[in-house]
Amino acid sequence: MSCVLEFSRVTKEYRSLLGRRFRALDSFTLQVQAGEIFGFLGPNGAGKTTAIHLAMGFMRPTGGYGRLLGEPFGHAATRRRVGFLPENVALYPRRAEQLVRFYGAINGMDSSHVDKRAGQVLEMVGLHDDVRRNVSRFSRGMLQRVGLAQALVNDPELLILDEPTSALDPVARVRVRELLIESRAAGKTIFLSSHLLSEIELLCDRVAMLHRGRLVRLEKTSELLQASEQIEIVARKVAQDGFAGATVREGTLRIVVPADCQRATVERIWNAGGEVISIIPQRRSLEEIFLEVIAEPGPGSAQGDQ
Amino acid sequence: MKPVVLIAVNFVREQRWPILVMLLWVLLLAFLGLSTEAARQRDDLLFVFKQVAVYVVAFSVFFGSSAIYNDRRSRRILSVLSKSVPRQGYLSGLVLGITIASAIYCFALPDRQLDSGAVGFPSLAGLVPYDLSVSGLHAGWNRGAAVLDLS
Repeated sequence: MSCVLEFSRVTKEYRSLLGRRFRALDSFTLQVQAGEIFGFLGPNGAGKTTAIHLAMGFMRPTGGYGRLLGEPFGHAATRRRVGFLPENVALYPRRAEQLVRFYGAINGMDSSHVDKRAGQVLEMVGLHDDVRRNVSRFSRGMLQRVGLAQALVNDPELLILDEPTSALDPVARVRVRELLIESRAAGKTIFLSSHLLSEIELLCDRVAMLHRGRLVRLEKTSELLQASEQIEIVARKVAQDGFAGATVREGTLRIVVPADCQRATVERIWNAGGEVISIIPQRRSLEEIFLEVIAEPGPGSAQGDQ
Repeated sequence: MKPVVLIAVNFVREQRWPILVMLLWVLLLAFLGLSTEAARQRDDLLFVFKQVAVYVVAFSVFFGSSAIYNDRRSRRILSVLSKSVPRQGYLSGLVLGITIASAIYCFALPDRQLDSGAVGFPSLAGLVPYDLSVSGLHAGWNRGAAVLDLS
């Protein structure tokens, strides 16, 4: 797989008028592969939006370098192949269809193609009944959907979405989720920054966690969720006594033990004449892992004034 | 070039109310010139129109810089710059938009003077705002380039 988005030791510092410096990103290194849905997590102020804005070329890194679809950050022509949805969607006040056409046209699409495509993408995001309404009268959720439509209008290879479902109702959220899954199936890459951990858990192939400007976790979602060191053993025909913390449910005994005690516990069950039904590694929720990661003391060099 | 034109047209569309107000101001002045003795006092009238012409400088600098500021503050600029529009293209679009808006104003100015019966000096008075608008746009470009860094 080829790399579509790459940060290599990227550092970004902001300076106040008094010369005080704040490091929003500190030697940030990350590679996003083609065809994956990549989750980008972190608490507020972790540097997620800064990283995204650097990738889009809205500002320049203080140090390091990055590539977007093989070209250095800020290469305007490359952005033709990228769809971007900002965190707080702000659009010009005009009719939804006109607006999407405008964004398609400034992205170099020819008028016949953009006319057709604008209707399609508005339908994809569930706004087919509101194409002639002015977006200034839209709710925040509807604005977010128009924002998504303008990001999709050029049929991008890479979608960079900053909080795409934060203002959506559950129905629209499911629709967007399906849309992203369809996009991945069509070979597109999706870089998804979100605080909705359940969304990330459901959608993303890999997850990166950013804390105080530094990458603190980068793993496949499935491995991250199974990385618990606890195992649940379900057995029957064995007494509860002797198994600390064991519970009985529907005639079976459930014992949660550390992974390194798995073999010994299974042998004890067998020796007691019991029968092992299943051995399941305990899954943890992304929320648990996230809270654990941000509770860890962050790298001092990445925070505050210097 | 197409994105630049689209951004320019979008700018004019966004500023349509201020442009209309300024055009009405020119019309009002022309009406007053026609309906009073001022039409016969050529030098005074020329002075008034030159003054009015200077407004185009304020118009171009004020609307140009506030357009960038407003786009940044509202974050609408992100949706534009996330497309294949370089910063220079965005600025060029705004400058072209200001030029179009100024041109509408400048074209209205000599027309009103003709209406007011002061034939002979519209070309002179008409050139003043064009010259001033160019310098105004130059100032706007410099200011725009300075504030466009989104960091």
